[in-house]
Amino acid sequence: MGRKKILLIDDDIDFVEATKIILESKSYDVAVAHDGKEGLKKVNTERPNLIILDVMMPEIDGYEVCAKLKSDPQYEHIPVLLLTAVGEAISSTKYTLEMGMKLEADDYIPKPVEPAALVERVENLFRISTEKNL
Amino acid sequence: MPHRIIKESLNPILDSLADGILVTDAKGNIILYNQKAETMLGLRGADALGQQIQDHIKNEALVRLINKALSLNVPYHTEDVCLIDSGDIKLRSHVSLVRDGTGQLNGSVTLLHDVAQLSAIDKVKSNFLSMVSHQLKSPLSSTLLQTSILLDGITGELNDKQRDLIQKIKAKTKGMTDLVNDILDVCYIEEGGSMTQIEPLNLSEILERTIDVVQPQARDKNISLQVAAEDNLPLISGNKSSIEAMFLNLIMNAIKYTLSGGQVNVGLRKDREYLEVKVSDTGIGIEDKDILRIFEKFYRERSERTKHISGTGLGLSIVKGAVDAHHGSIYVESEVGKGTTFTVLLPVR
Repeated sequence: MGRKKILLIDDDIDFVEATKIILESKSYDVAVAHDGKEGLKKVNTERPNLIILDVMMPEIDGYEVCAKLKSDPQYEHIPVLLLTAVGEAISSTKYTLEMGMKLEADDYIPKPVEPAALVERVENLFRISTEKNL
Repeated sequence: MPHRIIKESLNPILDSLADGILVTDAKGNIILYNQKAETMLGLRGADALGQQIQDHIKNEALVRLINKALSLNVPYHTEDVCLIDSGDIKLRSHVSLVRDGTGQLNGSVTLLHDVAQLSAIDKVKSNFLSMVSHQLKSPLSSTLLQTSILLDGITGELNDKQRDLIQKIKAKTKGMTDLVNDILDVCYIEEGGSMTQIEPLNLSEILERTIDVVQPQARDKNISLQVAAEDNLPLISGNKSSIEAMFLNLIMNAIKYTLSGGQVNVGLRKDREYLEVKVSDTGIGIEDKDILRIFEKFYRERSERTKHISGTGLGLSIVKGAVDAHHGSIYVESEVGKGTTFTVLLPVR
């Protein structure tokens, strides 16, 4: 089966570094991208099993990246975990509500995030995604 | 000196001003004004001279202001007197009184300042505060994460002293994060207070999303969070951020002040011509002496039983701001050691 790979897309370098440490300690492989454009490129080159995506990024924000991924048949099946700030978490759920089945694998978590909570969401998304593919 | 002569000699000077000037005698008759005032107030040439202000100035608020100053013999100052005809022009008006050597009231001089420029600056300031707060969120968020990593031992075991210090860093950082969030909420409320962005709101939906956001915290404390919302509730006309902040703060407070294993119940229903929001908890309750003050900005009970609870004391002032902006009302019942219930009534229309 091998280790699962997670692609982390966020322009906050400290956050990315810290999150990488957490996920690697749980035996996930982690690839990183610092903006939406780089993120979309790396989805192609790294073929991650899950994407953690920050909403607030310059140029292309997280919502746009998520929309692009979900409308691409190659990548729509990859679960996406959106990182939001409190208050935005509320408006970000328009994806989960509007896009139905495709997005059942998606989740969001507001920053600041506790490592345990992040890991729990990730594992949850992997579990849902595995169940769907059975 | 005849009015005509005063006007002619001062003309070029007064007309060069960027502000409007309007001079009346003690009885409220217009005796002088400059070109800017003419434009701002829609006065027609020299027709207005010698006339009562109420006969020529269409803006009731301004007329009232000048009359008040004259009758009470007190200078007046106001912000944002809006012009009726040209809706976009906002005028800050300052009415000064003119007295002669014996102190007898001679008349009034009103200075009219176009504040459209100022409003823009205010907006920039408020946007700046909002922007800075957003900018602070990321580094605070990362710092919290870094301290959590250290405490979890992922990067190696900590000795007691290290653990203690890092826990303190974490607590302080969390405090700053809460403050930044509250500042942002206050910014939203101040904007919502003038209700600039109003739209039809589905309270059930907003409540549902708020629950999603707070659920993890409730879970962490092993608190049962129950929601009972009626179906087919009418939409409410209001400001979205304001109402979101109201729900968030009420429910977060309930969770914060309830001990592990307790319960928080949220109800949403229609009660005559209001929508009623009820948030009740089985928490530590509020003492009588504090109940009158809990809605004050920064007010918090500071005692043994609350000292470990983080918070800036802005939560309920944010809630009250939101409720007031929507012409609603808020009630609180509480019993120390048993729990607290907050009830908000928001008019449907």
